[in-house]
Amino acid sequence: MTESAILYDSSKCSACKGCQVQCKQWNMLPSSMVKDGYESTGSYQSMADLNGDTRLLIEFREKDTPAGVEWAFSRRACFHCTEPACMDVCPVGAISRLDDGTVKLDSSKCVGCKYCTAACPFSVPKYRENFGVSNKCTLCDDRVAKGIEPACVKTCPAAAIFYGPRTEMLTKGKARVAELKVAGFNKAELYGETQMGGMHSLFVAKFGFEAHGLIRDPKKPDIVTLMSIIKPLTGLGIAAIVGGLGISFLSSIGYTRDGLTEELETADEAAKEEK
Amino acid sequence: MTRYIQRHSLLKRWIHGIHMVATLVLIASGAVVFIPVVGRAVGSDVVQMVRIAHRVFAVVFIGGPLVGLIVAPKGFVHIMKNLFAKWDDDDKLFMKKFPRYMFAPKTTHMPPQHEVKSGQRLSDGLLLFAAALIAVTGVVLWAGQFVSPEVFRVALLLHDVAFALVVLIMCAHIYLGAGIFQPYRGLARLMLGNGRVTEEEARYHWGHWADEELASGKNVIEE
Repeated sequence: MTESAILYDSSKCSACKGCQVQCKQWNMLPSSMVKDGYESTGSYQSMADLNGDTRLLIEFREKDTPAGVEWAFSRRACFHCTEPACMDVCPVGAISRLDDGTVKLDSSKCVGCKYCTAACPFSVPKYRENFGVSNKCTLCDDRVAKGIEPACVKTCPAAAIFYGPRTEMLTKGKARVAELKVAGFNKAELYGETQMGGMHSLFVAKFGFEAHGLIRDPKKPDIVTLMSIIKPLTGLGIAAIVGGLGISFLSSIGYTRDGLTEELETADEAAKEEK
Repeated sequence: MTRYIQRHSLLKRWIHGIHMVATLVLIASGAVVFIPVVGRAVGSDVVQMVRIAHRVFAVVFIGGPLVGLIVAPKGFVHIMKNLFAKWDDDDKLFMKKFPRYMFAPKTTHMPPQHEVKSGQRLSDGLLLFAAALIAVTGVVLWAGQFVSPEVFRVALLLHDVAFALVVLIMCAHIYLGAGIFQPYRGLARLMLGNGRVTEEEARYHWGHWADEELASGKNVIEE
């Protein structure tokens, strides 16, 4: 099956947050109905980070320049890595990689252990307290299965989000980066081509990765690798101990204590005799 | 008529029993999450029930010894004193001979010991450390939504390390403590029975301690 991907172009994004709203609407994820229910971020950004009810967040990064405020917008959501650390640590197999590259979290299987959040280098999966499960973007796999594009793509009025075969999205993204460079945005680059084995949510970073809050060289946390080593080592350790104790047991069969106590050699007594 | 020495009090045996049950349930339920193949095989509903049971027994695991500490603080001090008691020549000789004893008990004579054998002091110390580590990291994992992913990550790794330690130590602890190892046959009743040891067994296992107890006569029972 052809791998698919989303392409987000920060240079075209107007930060209208339509994608954020549509994501919530399609996936029936509520927002706080309380006035000032989210702590102020000091900008137009809705909330500080993703949460259990928010799979997609448009981030605002401001910089004062002589010409006025300069914005670096970011679409924060799951990157759908080819080597997803979240999937590796899930103890119940609730996270799987679909044939088209989507990394899906099946909330009906999730037990809410939060291991995925800890393993993800971007801390994307978030715990949904009311339901006791983790939550993250599924690339609208339900829509895609019916031949409809993801909700955020469908709604974007600025045509800043695209969806299609990953190879096409890569070509499109690279072409856009080249255009931006010609236009004077020398730091423009495409995120997701190689990171974490290749992502299925690509990002045209108009001002460079760092300006948009993207980790240049994300890696699975070392702790996740260590955990994967500890498990088989524990198994080997148990096998060795049980095997050793088994041999010990066989060698002790028929043991009798008669007469042993009288023959005991005491180190303390031996030391006294020597003196 | 047989002479016995009362080695463990009723309170100590109860706390050991409760802690033993909690530990075994925690190991079994922890294994369901620790071994992903098992978790995936039994399905998320079972895993969810197991996780709830894991938390209930975690409370018992942490609370049991704390109750013991509050009810009998002197007993706790006594355990700690034994744990950190200075090693004499017999203690060192015991450890030197122990590997050979495990595989050739019929021809290995062990030196007399104090109330807690030197080998058991090492094992108990390590077990206490692992138990404390698994308890603290377990509480952090339970409070997962209130800690940062970095802290959660470290707690998860250390919980796994402590789990491995506890399981490995428990294998040896059960083998010796339950008397599967033939020279230790019958010792299970010390913690799981009436807590008494016969004079003969006491002299064999803890010679120095038996001499002191028999001389003082405080805990000696004749039946």
